[in-house]
Amino acid sequence: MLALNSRIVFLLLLMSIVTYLIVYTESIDKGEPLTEFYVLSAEGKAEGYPLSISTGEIGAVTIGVINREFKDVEYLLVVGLTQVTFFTGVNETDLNDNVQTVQKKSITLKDSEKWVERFNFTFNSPGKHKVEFLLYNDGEEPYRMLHLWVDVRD
Amino acid sequence: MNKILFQLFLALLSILLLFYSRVDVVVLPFFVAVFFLMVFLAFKEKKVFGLVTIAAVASLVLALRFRYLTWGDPWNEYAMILRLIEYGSLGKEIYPSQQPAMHLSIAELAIITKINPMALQKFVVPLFSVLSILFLYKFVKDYFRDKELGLLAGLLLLVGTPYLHWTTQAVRESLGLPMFLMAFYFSYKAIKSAKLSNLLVSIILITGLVLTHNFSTMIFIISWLGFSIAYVYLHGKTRTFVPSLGITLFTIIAATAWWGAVGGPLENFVKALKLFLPDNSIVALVIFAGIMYALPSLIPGVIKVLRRFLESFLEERVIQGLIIFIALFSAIIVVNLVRGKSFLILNYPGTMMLNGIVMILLSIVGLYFLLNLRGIPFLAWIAALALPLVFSIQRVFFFGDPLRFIEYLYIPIAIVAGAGLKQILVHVPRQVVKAGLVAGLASVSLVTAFPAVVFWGTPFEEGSILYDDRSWIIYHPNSEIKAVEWLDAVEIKGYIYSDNYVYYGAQWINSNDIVIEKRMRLRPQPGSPKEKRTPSSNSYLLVTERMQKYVEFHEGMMHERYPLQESEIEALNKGTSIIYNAGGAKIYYINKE
Repeated sequence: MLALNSRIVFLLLLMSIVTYLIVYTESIDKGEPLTEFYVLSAEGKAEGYPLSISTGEIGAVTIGVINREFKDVEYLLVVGLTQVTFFTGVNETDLNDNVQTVQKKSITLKDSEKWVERFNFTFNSPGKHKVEFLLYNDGEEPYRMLHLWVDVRD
Repeated sequence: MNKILFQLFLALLSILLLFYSRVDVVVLPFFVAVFFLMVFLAFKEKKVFGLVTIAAVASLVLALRFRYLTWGDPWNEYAMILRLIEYGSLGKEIYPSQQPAMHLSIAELAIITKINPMALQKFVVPLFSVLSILFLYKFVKDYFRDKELGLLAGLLLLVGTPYLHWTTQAVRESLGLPMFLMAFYFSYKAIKSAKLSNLLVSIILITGLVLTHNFSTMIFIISWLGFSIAYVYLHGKTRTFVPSLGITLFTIIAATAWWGAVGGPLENFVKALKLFLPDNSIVALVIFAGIMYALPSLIPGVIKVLRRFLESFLEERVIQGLIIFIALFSAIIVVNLVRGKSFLILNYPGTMMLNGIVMILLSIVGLYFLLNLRGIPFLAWIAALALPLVFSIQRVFFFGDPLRFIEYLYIPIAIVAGAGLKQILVHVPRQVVKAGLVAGLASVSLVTAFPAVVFWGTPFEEGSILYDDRSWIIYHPNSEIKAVEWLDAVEIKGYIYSDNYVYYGAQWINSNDIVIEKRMRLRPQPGSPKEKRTPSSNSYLLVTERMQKYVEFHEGMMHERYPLQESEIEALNKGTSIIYNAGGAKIYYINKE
């Protein structure tokens, strides 16, 4: 009887270990490391972006970064404004791609930490403009890129 | 007992190795080695406990291997579970699935235990499928009075590609399969023993099956008709035909009543019946079944003569050869149809077809040994299922997804193939070699059943024998899920445009108050009627890294798939704003105003 009980206890123990490991591993596994980089409207929604404004009018957006890299990360956020004229030909090429950097900001985030900040921009000339949001990690190439196309009226 | 503990230890080890493979795929060969050892020991010792542990480990492959739900269908189930948790209602407008057994069980379990419903769905639902292997074993053991055949049939089913495909996904089929086999087992026990207790258990299980999965219930009706009619004719006694007919009538009435109430596949079922039976086909089926079952009791003399004739007929070498030739020819046609492009564009790789080819060869051998009165009910079961399968593939009449038919066809085929394997093993002199061969067959079947990324850890390049484009869609990368979660969190109002698999992964968003229409195409066609009907001016285009290698839009199901071209990405970048970027997934924002 004692032997049978000890075997049952051992079996239950084994089953408990398996269950615990499943639940534990499932709860700590967060998937592949990544950084989420996004832009929302000034109201914090994924609609109502200032995609059509007048010269001199202030366009406002919210920029967000979420660190899901499972380590502390130091990012560099660069925002650039560009006036772009499209040449319609065999190859569409940017005639004017002079980027005017308007903001550079260092952001240090712990794992799972989120950073959100409002950003204002304005254009003085009409036409098609690009607001470019670049997020650098530790390389020279941008780690994440976003952009908004803005029609600027007179 | 020590052997049982050692099997448990191996199961635990294999679970840990599969878990760890999420971090480093280098452990996957070790998992396969442990799996081999588990099968080897189970068959060397001929222990049913070993079979059960193998079934448990095999059913959890995808749950252990990947963080999120896989493929597409499990996400639909997850969405239904979330709806039940959120709204606490089974109303059709809230809960369109109307097949509540699995969804309600997981939802209740999640509420009671406070465990994440996705984790419960991923682990609990596939584990249920262990019961299908256990009850197949019991069924075969009882019917043939052969434990070894029961073990072999159970093993061949559990490593069968279509079976693994459905049980590991954590979908309604994962629960439908064990319900089907348990109901089948107790129905068989009811007609064999004519005991009321078995009949009652069978009726309870059939009710459970009706509430679990419509398609599995339809398959049960077809399978049971084939098996039980053949059985009644071979054992023509009143005590056999009454419970057989009772089970058939109960299943038809319960299923059609439920389908009629909730809008299940009743219409399809009736249309299909009309191919064979005149108008008012449900009533006709009931009358037809009644006559078919009662006939052996009404004309016992004629049936006895017929039985004797069938027995001598099946002993003729020419007849045996002819039946085997027809079976082989039919199997080749089905493989060709599945492999070809007559239905969906499947493009299964050769490695994945390996298990099917081995099963066909083993079945041909097994068929030779089951061409007798004892084997006839199983052959009738296969024939009953093969007919609607071929009809569906050929589109004579579309009963349902042919791949789901094959999933259920594998049950009787595993029994016939088990008989074939047993006969082959008779010629192998030592038990160790026999167990080694069985373990090798099971391990190879398991590894080749899934796309390469599961057990090789990597999708191979196009041109490689192991290349399988399903590697791109079996799992949903973190970036894709985070993008979908982000769309949910910012409460978008509008359309998401993406491919089929993002669409599936985004299903659960609909459980929230906002209902998002998802269109499975790259982007709205400017000026198209669909685009004009769009109530919101906002559309979101979710483009994943996968889509540059493999993409499947809904309208592309019947066409060859093509990946997104670099030029298309460039065009998007030039004309559309990017509002979200998680590396492997980007969200473009399209505004009509």
